[in-house]
Amino acid sequence: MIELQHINVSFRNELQKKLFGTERKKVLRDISVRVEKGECLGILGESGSGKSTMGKVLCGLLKPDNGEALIEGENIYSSRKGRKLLRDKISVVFQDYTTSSNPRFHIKDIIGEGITVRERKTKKKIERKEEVARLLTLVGLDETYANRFPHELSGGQLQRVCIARAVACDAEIILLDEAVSSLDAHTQVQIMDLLIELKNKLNLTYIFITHDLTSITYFCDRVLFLNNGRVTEVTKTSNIGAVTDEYALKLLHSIIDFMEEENHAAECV
Amino acid sequence: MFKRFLHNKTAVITTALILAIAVLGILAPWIAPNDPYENDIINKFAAFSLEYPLGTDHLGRCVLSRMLFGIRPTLGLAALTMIGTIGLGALMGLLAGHFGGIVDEVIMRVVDVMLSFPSQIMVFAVVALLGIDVRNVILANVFIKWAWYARMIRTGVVQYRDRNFVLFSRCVGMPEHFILFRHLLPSIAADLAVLSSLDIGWAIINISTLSFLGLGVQAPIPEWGAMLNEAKNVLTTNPVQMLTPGIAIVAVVTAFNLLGDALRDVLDPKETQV
Repeated sequence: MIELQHINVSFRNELQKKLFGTERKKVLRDISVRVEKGECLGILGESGSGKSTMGKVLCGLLKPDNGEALIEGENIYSSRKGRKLLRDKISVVFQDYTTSSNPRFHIKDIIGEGITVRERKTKKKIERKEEVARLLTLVGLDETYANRFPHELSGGQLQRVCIARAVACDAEIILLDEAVSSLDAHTQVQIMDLLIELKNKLNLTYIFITHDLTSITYFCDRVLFLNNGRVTEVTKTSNIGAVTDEYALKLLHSIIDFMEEENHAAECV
Repeated sequence: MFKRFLHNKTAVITTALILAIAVLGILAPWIAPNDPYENDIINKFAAFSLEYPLGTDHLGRCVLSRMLFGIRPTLGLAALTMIGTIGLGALMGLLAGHFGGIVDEVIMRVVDVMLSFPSQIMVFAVVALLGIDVRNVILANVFIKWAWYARMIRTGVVQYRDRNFVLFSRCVGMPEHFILFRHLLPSIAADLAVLSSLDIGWAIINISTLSFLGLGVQAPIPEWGAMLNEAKNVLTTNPVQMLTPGIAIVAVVTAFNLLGDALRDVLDPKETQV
């Protein structure tokens, strides 16, 4: 459905050795991956490994230096049809929920933006008030939230609003860029359960960017390990214990060790 | 927002005061007790009386009538200056911030040049070049002030254009005008409103200064700065002449400054009580 072929991305180095130098830092190197309809692909890597950059390329916000980003065979960056297809099919939920919603908008306007996107796609007028109430109910909030401002909501509630906005667009693919990372453990599980429920109900495709292995195993069908801008391994989540790549193993062991230490500490308490 | 405005005492009082002054200026021909241009040399420097409630000036003209008629050029020119300044500044700032790259570089370097000149000297230079005229006063003020607004608006746009809510709009294909007018402009509107309400005070003083120096509104047109200019000639013999236009300028400028402060609170949605 959506595919990256030999993608390379580099940024200009801020600290140049020469005056007017043109040194560039490679962020993504020869990335190739394909996401099928209805699946949930997890992208796992440490901070600075290029996960969010890959997400930006996937949702059309960052043109790669070379390589092709395709949706249903159409190039996202060089073909107008591809760009339109991507905009019609993709939506995004960011990690930082505080900057994800315009602080001057009411919740109804934030979700309303997603509804406007759908109206533009279908060229049909949608009854705003009812649709906002329906979407709020869908993400476990009630319609009284519609007239509130973002700062009047908790982090978990605001992230639910962002999910409602993403769903309101009637998108087939939702890119979740560390969408649960900044929430507490209890809210993380609630949001992931909500996402699984929505995926089954609406037959959505997810691209789930995270540095947290636990949420990947809870949530994704496949996992892609990213290290220093390279894909080191792609495997099914059910086979995650059988990874062979050195980096993936190291990452896996460090997380398992951390979890064991955490459990031990909990037992001591 | 309107509710928040009504709950802010300073905003309501200062707006009421400014509106009252503006209405007095509009209704001046009907409520002024005398003709502001009519000389009565025998009655010069007359004390407060029923016929001349604020006395008369050095040519025996009614001070109150001149004050009322003076509201028109004082507030009108300041408003025109601010409209011109904000219009040009906002356009340049939005273009620079939104498009970035070479457009940003060119506009910002012009802004740098504009900001490097001392503003008062520039006003005099522009008025001297174009000639003494009310239109040129406005042009000169816009000319020296637009760069401040362009820089401020550009900074605001750059600050907000990479926020996640703007990236979301881009990602799902919302049109550029939606991003510009629904996300970016309202985000910087609060700063803009505060700065412009503070600067309208500056514009009033600047126009009055130019009139005071004889470069702005010319005699016999009643304008508060020009009235001060005329009063300064008799400062030692009749200091009361300075009081009326002086107090009026201080009151209006203070009202605009307080309104600027109040608007900052009113336009911030985080000020809403949960």
